[in-house]
Amino acid sequence: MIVRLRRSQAMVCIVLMACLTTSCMRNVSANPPQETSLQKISNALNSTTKSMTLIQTTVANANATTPPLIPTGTARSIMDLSLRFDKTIGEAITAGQKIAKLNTSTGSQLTVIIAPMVTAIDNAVKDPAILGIQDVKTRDTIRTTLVAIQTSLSTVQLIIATNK
Amino acid sequence: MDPLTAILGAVTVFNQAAPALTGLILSFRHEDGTVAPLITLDEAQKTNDENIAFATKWLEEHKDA
Repeated sequence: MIVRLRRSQAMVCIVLMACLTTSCMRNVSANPPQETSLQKISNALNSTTKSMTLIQTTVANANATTPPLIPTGTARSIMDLSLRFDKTIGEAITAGQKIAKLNTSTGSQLTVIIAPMVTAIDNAVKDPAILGIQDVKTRDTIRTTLVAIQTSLSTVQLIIATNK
Repeated sequence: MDPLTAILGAVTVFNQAAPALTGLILSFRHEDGTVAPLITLDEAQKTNDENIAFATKWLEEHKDA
């Protein structure tokens, strides 16, 4: 009697799990993960933060050598610039987290934040503090990374523009 | 069917359902059913917070240099 009861309980459990699985699979396949415009923007912002990590690490390491490959004054200018940039990226990320779908309104919200970032990076690429870095390897790493950020931000702007 | 087989069967079904369940729960985070953007943005935010902390600390350490 007890064995029969346990068997029925197990069968009920299996049937419930099977129903749940079928239901879940149907829901997930109805909304499959896809590379949406929002995903592309998220990837670009993620890539930008990683580029900033590289710039900051490069600057700090180049300043820590003996003699320093970048003088402290120059390193401080670049680090200060990068900190201001980090804070703006933070705003863009926070805005992105609140957006569920990219449309004209949400695209405009992102544009307001991203436009000054583009200007800041355009200026940074031409910044005398960066152009004046004597160590070629350090200068090239920073400039190449800044160009990578420029590309990421241009991608974001293009995605927003084509979604309007 | 003995109880052990029944339990193993249930566990197997649950294991198969787990990824779908995870996907379903995560998809609640976005109306359009996309899962990844917020995960990517969470990662970006974490990296960005670390960058801000690093730059702030470095500037503090070198403010009088």
